[in-house]
Amino acid sequence: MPDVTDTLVGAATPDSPSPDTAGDNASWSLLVPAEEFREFAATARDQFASLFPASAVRAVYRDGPNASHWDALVDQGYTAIGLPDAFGGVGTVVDLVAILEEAGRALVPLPLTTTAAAAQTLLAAGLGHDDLATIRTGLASTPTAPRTGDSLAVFDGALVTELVTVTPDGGVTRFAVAEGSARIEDRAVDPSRATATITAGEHLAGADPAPGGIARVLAGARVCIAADLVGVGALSLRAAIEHALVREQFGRRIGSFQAIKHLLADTHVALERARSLVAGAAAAVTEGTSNASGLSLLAKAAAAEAALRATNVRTQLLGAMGLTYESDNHLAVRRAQQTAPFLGSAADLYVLAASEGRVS
Amino acid sequence: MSTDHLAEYRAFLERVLPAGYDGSAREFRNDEKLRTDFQAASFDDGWLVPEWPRELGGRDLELADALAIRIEGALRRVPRQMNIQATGVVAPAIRALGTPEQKERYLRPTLRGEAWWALGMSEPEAGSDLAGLRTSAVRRGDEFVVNGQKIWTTQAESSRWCTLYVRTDPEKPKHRGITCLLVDMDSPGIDVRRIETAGDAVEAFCEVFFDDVVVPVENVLGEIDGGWIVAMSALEHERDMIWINNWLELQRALAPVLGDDDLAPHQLERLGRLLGDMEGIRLTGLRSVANRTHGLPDALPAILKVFGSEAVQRGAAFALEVGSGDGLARSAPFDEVLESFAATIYGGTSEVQRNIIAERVLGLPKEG
Repeated sequence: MPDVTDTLVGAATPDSPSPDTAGDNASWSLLVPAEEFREFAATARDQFASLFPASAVRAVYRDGPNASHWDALVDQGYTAIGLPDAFGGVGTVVDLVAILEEAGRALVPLPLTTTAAAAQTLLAAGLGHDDLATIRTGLASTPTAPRTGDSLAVFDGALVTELVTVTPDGGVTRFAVAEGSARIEDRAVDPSRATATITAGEHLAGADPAPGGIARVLAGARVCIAADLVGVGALSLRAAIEHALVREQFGRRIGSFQAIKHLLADTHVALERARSLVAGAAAAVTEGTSNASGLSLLAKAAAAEAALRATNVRTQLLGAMGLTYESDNHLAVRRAQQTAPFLGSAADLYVLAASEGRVS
Repeated sequence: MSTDHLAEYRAFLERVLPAGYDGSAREFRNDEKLRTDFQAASFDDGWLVPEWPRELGGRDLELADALAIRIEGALRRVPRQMNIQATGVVAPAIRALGTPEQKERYLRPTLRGEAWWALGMSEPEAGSDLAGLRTSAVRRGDEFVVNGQKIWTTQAESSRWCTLYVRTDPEKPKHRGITCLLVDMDSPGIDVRRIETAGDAVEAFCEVFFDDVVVPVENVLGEIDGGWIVAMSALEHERDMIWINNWLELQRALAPVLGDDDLAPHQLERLGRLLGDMEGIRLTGLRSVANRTHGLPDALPAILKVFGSEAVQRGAAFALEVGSGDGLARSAPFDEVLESFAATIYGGTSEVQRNIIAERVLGLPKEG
């Protein structure tokens, strides 16, 4: 269970004095991104919006995956955030989630979040490498460790060239993707984050099961996915509000009706709840505190719920328009529905968090 | 530095709390002398309002350090104050808006727990719509003469003082003609009647009738006709304490459930969701503080009331359900449920909170 006495404030106990004020305050600062990353996130929002307008997402729906903007993301440094200095990284996982929330908000049709999730998994397993920030990488949880030549269905795998797999005991393996093997399996839910069937190629590295098991190894990955989902939810809530501000019925803007207000207020609360859990889990992963896996389960669960709720509410408010191809609504609905169950649905993860809480 | 404060506070607790102190045990929770003495000792050592300046009884601590002290106290389940609104609501308002004479006269006895306060806000026709209040105060020389009725006034029968919100100008728009008076409850013309509550777990509240009650003009808090500002600022001061308490109540409700090995899968899911609420409240509260510390805009306080109070209700309901697994409801978890009902009503109902979130945070238009 998330160790509630291990609060970010005053985490120091009498036996483990923190060296100075900064020692304690470091934890504090971690709940909001560092100043330069707050600015970077604002830049990312603009840049993602211009690189990936809805028309770019629709182009992927129409023409299939397209990696042409990947190098731009790498060049701008987005893929290096949250990686250690030793691997060319900058910032922390707290800073990373600020960027991934923006990626979620823009429905970025490239495996940016997925690659970050895979990189965090490799780092947790001690398998960091020099190309973490450049290689598009997929992540799959498998019942047993795959071997070279095995075929796997991989979330957001259409454009990946490496693959990280995790087994229930927390063992991690890194594979190359066999040449030309990535093949779209299912693009019915979200064509811009399609599931792909991939053949595991060369075995590049492996790590034995570690203490803490899969929940510990996947903590960083779950935080990444959760941040992306918060972004999808935030996009949807904002769009729902904008609609409620202009759509008139019965001679008034529908946003003035209390029924609508309360629906949107509840969605806002759910999103902030998720955002807080993501921030707390990111801080815990960054500091390596004992509650990192518990908080990451809760963060991912909360983010999945909030994203689904926000997309549902937007769909409801849009009325029939929300069910048309023309409305951008379904792009976010598809993104949320595709992403929410990855690494465990909300219900699965709440059960896991509760079970962990009972054994610790 | 933070660690020093914390170590010092822990040493203080060690010194003043009785041996074997367990704040969740009923005999300690209901020990009124312990609660009274602890508050006075906390004030005397500067721990009651550690972020306040030293000359007013604080320790000049930074917001973050003061909060760490509060959280430590909450985790240790220190004795609850007997008259919480005095330190949580009244004292900060007097500090912020009171005259030098008012501060000199009221702050120390209020913080030490010697002067109890009632909050004279709700009226039979003015609940959520506080600005609709009708209790009137008419100026007569250096005095106001008060007539009217308050209701749901917590601890009115045992309080010596009351921050009484009255209408001083019926001609002005309703938010603008309200004044806050510091009223001596021993004044002639005040009649306090206790309202029997649905159970002992519900805090006692009263009806209060005012019949030509004379209040000196020097007892106006803030400006005449400026009572709305006093009310708004008074409620704002409590914000960090409210989420810390909600977090702690949820922790307390879930503690017995976490030790239960026989939970069904559907109960595990709800338990996990409640853990998410519990950690979500803590982290939202801390994010809010982090925002303020970094000088960032902070809209999180608007959600903490509805989020925290409703989560506490869900937690209490869940603990009662799990505790009644043999088909027999038990009184202790039922009391928690009963007590939790108040949280979504006082200090602005959940429905009003949702309107506030929608209008002030999300930018939706007012009704109509």
